[in-house]
Amino acid sequence: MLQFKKVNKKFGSLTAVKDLSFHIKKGEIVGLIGQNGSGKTTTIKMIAGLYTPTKGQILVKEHDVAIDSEFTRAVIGYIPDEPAVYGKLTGDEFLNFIGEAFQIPKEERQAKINELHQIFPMGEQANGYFEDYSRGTRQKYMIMAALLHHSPLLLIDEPIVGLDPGSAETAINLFSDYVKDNEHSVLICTHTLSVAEKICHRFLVMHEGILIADNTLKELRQKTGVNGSLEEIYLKLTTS
Amino acid sequence: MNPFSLFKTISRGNSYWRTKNAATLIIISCFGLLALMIAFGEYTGFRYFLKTLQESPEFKTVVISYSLHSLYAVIFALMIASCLILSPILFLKNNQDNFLLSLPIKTTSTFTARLISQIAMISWTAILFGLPATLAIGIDTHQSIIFYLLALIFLILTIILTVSLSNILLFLIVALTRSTTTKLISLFSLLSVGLILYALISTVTPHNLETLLAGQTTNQNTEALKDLTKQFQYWPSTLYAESIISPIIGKSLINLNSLYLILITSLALIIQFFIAKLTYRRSQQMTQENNEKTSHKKATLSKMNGYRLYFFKELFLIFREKSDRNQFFLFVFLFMIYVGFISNSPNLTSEPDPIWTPRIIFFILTTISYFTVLLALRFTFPFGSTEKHKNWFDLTLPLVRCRSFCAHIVSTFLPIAIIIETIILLTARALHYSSAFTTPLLLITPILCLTNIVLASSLGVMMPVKHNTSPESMSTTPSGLLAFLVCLTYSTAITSIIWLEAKNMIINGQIGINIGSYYSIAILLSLLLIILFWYYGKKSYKKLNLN
Repeated sequence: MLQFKKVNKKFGSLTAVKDLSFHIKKGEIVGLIGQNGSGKTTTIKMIAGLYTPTKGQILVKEHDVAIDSEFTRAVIGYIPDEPAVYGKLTGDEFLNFIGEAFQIPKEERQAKINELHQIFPMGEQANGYFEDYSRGTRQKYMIMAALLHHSPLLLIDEPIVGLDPGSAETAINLFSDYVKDNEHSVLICTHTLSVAEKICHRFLVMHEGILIADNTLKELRQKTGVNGSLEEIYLKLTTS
Repeated sequence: MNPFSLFKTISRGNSYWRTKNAATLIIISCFGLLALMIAFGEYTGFRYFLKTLQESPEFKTVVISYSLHSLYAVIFALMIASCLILSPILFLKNNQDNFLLSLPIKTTSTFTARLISQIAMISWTAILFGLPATLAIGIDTHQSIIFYLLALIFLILTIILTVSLSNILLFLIVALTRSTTTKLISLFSLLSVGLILYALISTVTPHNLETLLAGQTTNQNTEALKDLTKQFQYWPSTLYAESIISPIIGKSLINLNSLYLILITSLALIIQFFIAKLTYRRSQQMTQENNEKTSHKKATLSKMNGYRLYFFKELFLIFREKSDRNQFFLFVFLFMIYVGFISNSPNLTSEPDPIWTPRIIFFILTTISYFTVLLALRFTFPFGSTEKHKNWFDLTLPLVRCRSFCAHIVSTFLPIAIIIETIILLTARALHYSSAFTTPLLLITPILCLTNIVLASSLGVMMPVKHNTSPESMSTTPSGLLAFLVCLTYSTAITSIIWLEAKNMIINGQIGINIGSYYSIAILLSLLLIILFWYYGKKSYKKLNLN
């Protein structure tokens, strides 16, 4: 589904990502973890087409993001870390806009929006403007937008920041269900390691722009000799 | 209606006028009214102007031709200026790009959508200033509806041409230089200011103006005006101006000029889309990536302690902000133009001291002061701006709040005071008022003016805060706006008195004659303002920031 081949990204004199190579298969949920400034968001943004790699190749469904971005964008769903978009659109207008961008027929789109409203009840808030929503509500709409088009590859940058415990639980379950058909994949970038541990099949650990681990939880335990939680393993990995 | 329900209706109405919506309604109505008045004034002025030229048909044609060429050149310069400043923000520094770029939307679709908003945003200049003159000419020469329709189409084409030219420039510069948006905005702002000034003063050089004024007969004046009109021959707005003039000189509105206009606009539009298709997406990405670039700075503040640290922190916040720093450079550039302009201004009245120069200087200085002070108020009283959060954080620190308030005020206005003082000194030097440097009045006057503007406008902000339960009201409700306007009017009046008196003293050498009257009143009023400022500032500042 997704393949990184020796990808580098430089911002002026700063190397944000160095020789990054990994892949994600269909049906996988992969967690991208690391310290602040380790290159996680840059990696996600390169896949989403927001940044161009300085060197290397990113393939989504065998298509190069830099060359065939129109195709790759059509198969990617992206939930950004800062859900501040279109202040003067109502939540439902935003969902319709996203549906239109992904060319979902009107009737199907409306049915799907109604279905999503059952999952995340918005009540009167649905008629308010995006700019007036709380961070959590905006995040819910971003998740709903990603679920609306149900793209093969879902990129999530900090999935549950600002969500209330109930909604966070719902979101986690939705992401788990997302890959159950073995046709979809999810890449989650997060600092909430308990969530990552709960839903991810594999973990990519980044440190100062370099990938220092690409393993399952079991493999990570063997590698570090820590038999505890992901958080303990992560601390061991990054401090050593 | 019984008295109770009447009272309820009135109080409901009363409370409505205190809301944000009412303030928006009032502001939009005021701007709408002002726009209508300007358009009507221009239309009436043109009609009157055309009537007064009835007796001399050849001279009339030349005058109309020159007026229209000048008018549309200025409109074109204004539109280009708006476009150049707006384009980087609209096309590159757009908050939505961070998400929009990830969606499967074609680059040309995003570009077209933004192009349409850009055209809508800048068309007001052409419609407000361009249409009344066209309308006046049409009515004066008894044109049919076809004339107005074609004129409107040609005006729209001129707008599209202007937008296309500025966008081609933008994308070429981004592709060639890989500049950041902030740098581009500064560059374009400088270009725009230069272009507007060029449009305003290039054709009216001392030489050709003197030739025109010296022309004793209509023929001489006609020739002089023809020469002036030639200055516009390379402006794209000329195509529109020539098309509109055609019916007056007996030509059809669809002529070679209008065909050129259609051709050039289509060509510019095609080139624009071609360049956008090649470069737009990469330009958007580059803007996003440039935000990530880091630079290493020395921690200058680490050498300081106490309130010195606090004061310099405020100053650094302003000058470390890229856009504020660029605004400062723009300001310096404007000073240079201003000084160059007044140094070379022609002495049209042939008197030792030109009558109009001090008045223009007073107008320019007051305008600059107001704009600067209003900009600076953003930092001291940051309502919905980003600075608000910084202030919130400051208020949580173990600092004495009124000292923190003073640090804000001083660090914000001290640079402005220095800038305005510099303009005054440069003005005096440019006008060769050698005695001006020897009088302390030249130093005191601007400071007294600035103090008044700052204090009065700040009071206008703080007074409603003190008395209103909703802190949001201070900048958005009619009562807040009213208080602000009253204080600004007061400061205008007092500034005018002080400045005009100082000007008389400096130019006419009457130092000491009126010093007792004007200056003591001004100083007394300033003192009164300082007391009020202190009283309201202390009470309001905490409330203003914490809510």
